[in-house]
Amino acid sequence: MTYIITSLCLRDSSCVEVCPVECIIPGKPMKEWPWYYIDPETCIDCGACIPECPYEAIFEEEAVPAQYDAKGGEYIARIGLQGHYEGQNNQGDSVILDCTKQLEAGENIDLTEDIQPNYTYFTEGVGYGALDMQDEEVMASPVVEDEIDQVPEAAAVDVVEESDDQEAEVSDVEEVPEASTAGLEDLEAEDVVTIEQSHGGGVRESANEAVPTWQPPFFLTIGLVRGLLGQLFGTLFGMGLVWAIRFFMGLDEFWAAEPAWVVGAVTGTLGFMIGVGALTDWGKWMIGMQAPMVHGPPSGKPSWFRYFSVDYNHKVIGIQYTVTGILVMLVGGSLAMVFRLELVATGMQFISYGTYNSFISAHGIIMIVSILIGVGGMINYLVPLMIGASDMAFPRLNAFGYWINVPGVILLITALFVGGWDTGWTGYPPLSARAPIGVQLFFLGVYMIGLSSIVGSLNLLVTVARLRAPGMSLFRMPIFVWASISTAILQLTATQFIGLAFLMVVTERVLGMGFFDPFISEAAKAVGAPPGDPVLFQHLFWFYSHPAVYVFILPGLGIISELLPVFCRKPLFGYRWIAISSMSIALLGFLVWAHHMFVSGMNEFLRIPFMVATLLVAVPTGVKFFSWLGTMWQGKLTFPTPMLFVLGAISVFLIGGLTGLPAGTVATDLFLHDTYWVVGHFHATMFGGFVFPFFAALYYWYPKATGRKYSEKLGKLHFWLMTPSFWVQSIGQAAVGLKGMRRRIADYDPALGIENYHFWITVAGILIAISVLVCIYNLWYSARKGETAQDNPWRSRSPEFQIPSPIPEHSYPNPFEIVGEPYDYGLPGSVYVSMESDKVLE
Amino acid sequence: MGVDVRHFVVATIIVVLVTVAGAVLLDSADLLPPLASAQGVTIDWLFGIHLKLIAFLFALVIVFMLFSIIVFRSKPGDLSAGKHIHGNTRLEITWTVIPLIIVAVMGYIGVVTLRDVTASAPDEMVVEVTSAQWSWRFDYPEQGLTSTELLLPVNQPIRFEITSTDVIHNFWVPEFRVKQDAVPGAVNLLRVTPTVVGKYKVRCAELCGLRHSQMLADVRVVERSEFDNWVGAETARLAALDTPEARGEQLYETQGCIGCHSLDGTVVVGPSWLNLFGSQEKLDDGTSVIVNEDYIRHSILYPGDQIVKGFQNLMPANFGEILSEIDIKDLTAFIKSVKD
Ligand code: HEM
Ligand code: SF4
Ligand code: SF4
Ligand SMILES: [Cu+2]
Ligand SMILES: [Cu+2]
Repeated sequence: MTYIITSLCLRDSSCVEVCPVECIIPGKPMKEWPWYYIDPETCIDCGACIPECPYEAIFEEEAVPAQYDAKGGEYIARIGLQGHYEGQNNQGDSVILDCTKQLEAGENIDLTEDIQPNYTYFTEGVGYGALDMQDEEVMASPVVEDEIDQVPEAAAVDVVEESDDQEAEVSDVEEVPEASTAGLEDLEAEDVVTIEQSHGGGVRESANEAVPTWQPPFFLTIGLVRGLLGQLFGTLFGMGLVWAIRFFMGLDEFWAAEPAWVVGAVTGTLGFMIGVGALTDWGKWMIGMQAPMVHGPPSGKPSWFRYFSVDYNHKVIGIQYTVTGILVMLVGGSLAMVFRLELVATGMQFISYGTYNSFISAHGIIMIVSILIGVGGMINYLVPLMIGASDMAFPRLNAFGYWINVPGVILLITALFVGGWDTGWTGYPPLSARAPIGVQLFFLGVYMIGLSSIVGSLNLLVTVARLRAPGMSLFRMPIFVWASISTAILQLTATQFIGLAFLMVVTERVLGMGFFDPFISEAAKAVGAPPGDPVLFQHLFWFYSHPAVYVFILPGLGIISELLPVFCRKPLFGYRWIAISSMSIALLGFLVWAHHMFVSGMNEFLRIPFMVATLLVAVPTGVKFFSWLGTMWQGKLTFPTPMLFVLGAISVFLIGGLTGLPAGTVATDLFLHDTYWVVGHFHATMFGGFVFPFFAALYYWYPKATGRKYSEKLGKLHFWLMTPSFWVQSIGQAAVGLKGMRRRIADYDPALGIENYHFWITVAGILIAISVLVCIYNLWYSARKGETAQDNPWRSRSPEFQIPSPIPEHSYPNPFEIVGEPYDYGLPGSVYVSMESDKVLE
Repeated sequence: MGVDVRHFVVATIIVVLVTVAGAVLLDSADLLPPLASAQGVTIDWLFGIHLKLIAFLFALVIVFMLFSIIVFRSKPGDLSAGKHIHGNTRLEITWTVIPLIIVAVMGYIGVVTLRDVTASAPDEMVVEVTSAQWSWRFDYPEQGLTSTELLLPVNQPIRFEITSTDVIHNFWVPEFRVKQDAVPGAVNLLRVTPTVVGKYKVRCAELCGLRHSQMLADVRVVERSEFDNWVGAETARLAALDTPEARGEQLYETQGCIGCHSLDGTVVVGPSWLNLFGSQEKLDDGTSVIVNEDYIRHSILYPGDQIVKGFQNLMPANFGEILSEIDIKDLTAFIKSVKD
């Protein structure tokens, strides 16, 4: 095997032509792999290229140097370097290279780190697109030393993509699906592990000899484990720091718990992010080291490994988000089960008032967080696939955005163990200013998760703006992409407000800043400080939290619009109107926040504009409903599980929307506010707008993501358990609200005569919980034992269904082009995407 | 008549039928608690309109959806596509403009009803509502009375002036329909004209901490004459309160101490007052104190300073602004008297 040492190569391509077997190829994508590589599979070690390279960048295996002594004046190129190089290659074309540096004589460059990307490019990178995260046996199989040079065959196909000549390539590319799936069987662990052992291991050994390093045990290489340890140590460090400072300041109660927890929560989060490795690459850049993008699953690790560690592939991150979202939903749902049982009868059965209040507070925020995380999952997984981007615009930021959720959720759960908090998820002061310490961890946890929303939405907007496939004009984007950008605009612009509001209460508590406290001390009054204003908090809070509810539902409504045409075999009715309605819901979302404050005592006249703006939201929402009906009308409807959930979503979201109407006019809201009517209302909106569509999406893209079929029987069981139960639950909640059941009460007056209703609401809640467990079992079981799925089980026109299942590491072998409308079902001969073949869909 | 048109007509007829059935059903169902205020009449009327709108929109969406599911379902094995229609601009404009008109009408009705519900009357009687975790106090400035039970003369427009001494609460009597937040540091107005004699309850409708669910107060709407009798009797009773203990007991009940301190030894939120005076209390900083006049005065004025071990700093900090020195003496005398 012959190597090009990447940092010495200045890509003048002199070597390419001489290779008799054409195995020298430029890295792709250029921005991440701007050097030339030798394909180890086809290289015959003829040595012809070595003398051709004017920079002596090519070596035989035995001759690869560990370091390079500069003669002076020449350039090296590495990611992270700042210099600029312009030159010419041997054909006289100009070559422009950033990330270079001119060397001074005698400078000594360590080359060992070049070896790694050099071979991983083929073993795990784009070179072997077919080699997917799939094969579970990687760990199990023994390493077979004497197969060292035997490199799998099937994977070569898409490496040849360099050619500019489209026609010539067609035949190659058409083979991709079969070749790569067939290849999967051959690509057993031995091969992969062997490559690493032979090439990489061999070269690295020399480095290891020089600097003997400690090899951590396997479990310590798992990012999540390191992150959790980091959070633990970070928290202890922060607490210790506070205690030390307070001790040396001579404070009496230097061991006070609250400031220690606050600082500990922040340093703990930082500790997690450092431990998990989400900051590593940025740190390297800061000190001038290179941190190339690593593609594919890490070598020599079991296939689940990458899901528990920092990984930059958007599909991995999407799955991380989705699974985390489901787990967090289970935590929040279990809390609901506890207080739902408590509410079956009047009187306190088995939990105390304090526990009850903590549980509803935690249930509320944990469910909201699970929705935010689930939304992140759908968007991260689907949007790049739908627009034909190889990844999100900022993969490292993407990983950061996912991982910051984990310490955030841990803070929320920890809050329950340090006293809980009794303010609900709204955290209104002055109540939150005097709640138990748990409220601080709740505030800070939400703050961290808010960071995720902000960076995630920024990333998404840039991705959609910059990385769409050629031909994909705004009105040819899949409709889910429209929903995603509406959501992202809301997240990017509103999340700061809840962060701000919560941080103000945090500082009010630990530093005595009287932002919201109407009763300030005599001393403060004496120096003329104005009293704080509790209603101000509500404005800040709802300025985020109202748009937030649209963040929850817009992607879900996008899923409904995305799936309906497929299962109705009919174009999406009024595509542009739906797209624009998403945007107008998002914009109106900023103008209605005070409808949560009709009875708060804010300026009376404000109630009218906010009432009118609230009613206006009905218009774009109506457009969506009617367009869905228009799509179904005269279609050819089929009803597999995803379609059932879509229809369920419409029916449930309808309940949510209709119960919102009376809450929107002030006079009726004076009665309905803070009753169970509102509880029924927002559960229906969130289930119809998020939970049902989320399940629809899970089932719909499950074959794409896993390559296997889920069980249709269990899927339908899930649907039929969940949907009627949900109707009972939300209509029951609305009904008890009208009877006088207040929101967030641990116990209710037997005189209201609503015990019966509560019994049935609880039964419905339990059935919903059971149905979710059925779903999880289905997904879990089918991922291992399910039948192999087809590439396009739903006969969809969407680009992600035109590539193999499961989707390969680098989704599309070549960029595709958009040549038609996205939802032209039933128009003979029409195509939406043209993969480089002229394959006509349907 | 083409098949398409026939489908549409049939579905529309079903929508009308279901709307009527739904509206009748919702109308006849006994959804709301009994009505007992003039303001509630407007609110129930508006709610009735909403219910009819809900019945219609529900029928519209559900009927068309079910109709499509049944009529347009594809036969097994049929892989063909549905009708190729991209949309219909005229239809889209219709279903944007008609809702806009409905919104405009509802907006107008919303403004008018809000005006009705908040309108003031010339002969209003003022009741000051003071909420605290987790009790209610009602002051009648015109009558010079204070009570923990809300007694109201029927058909008398009332202006409630609502505030709180600690966190946000919400004054709500479901039978009166309207509610209003009680915000510390602010006075919010709420107008109610009770119209039906009877017993109701104030139910705090804003989460206010531990015992939020139990933050109730009795409401009695009575005939004018009965109200006047009550005023006379209360005034006489207050005048007759000549011992400090009796006045202290009155304060105990009206100022909300009763919400957290029991007289029989049970621990509610704060320490019980039974045999409190003269006893020794362990504080949470490890020291202990003898309960004497000074300690009681200090604990009322600066409740956060000395917390008894096992309790939290939950007592309102503004009693200094509410109670006079004489009140504090009366309370101390009452606490002294609580012995078994
Ligand atoms: C994804 C699913 C769910 C989401 C997003 C969700 C969200 C929420 C939110 C945001 C609140 C407000 C919390 C508060 O007022 O402090 C809430 C309250 C509540 N949830 Fe859920 N929830 C979900 C599922 C459930 C389930 C399955 C049940 C069980 C039947 C349930 C029962 C309740 C109840 C009873 C309350 C009111 C508690 C009270 O005010 O006393 N929720 N939920
Ligand atoms: S060594 Fe020979 S075969 Fe291998 S890449 Fe260079 S020229 Fe091609
Ligand atoms: S000839 Fe030299 S510069 Fe050109 S590709 Fe080969 S190694 Fe790179
Ligand atoms: Cu809102
Ligand atoms: Cu309250």
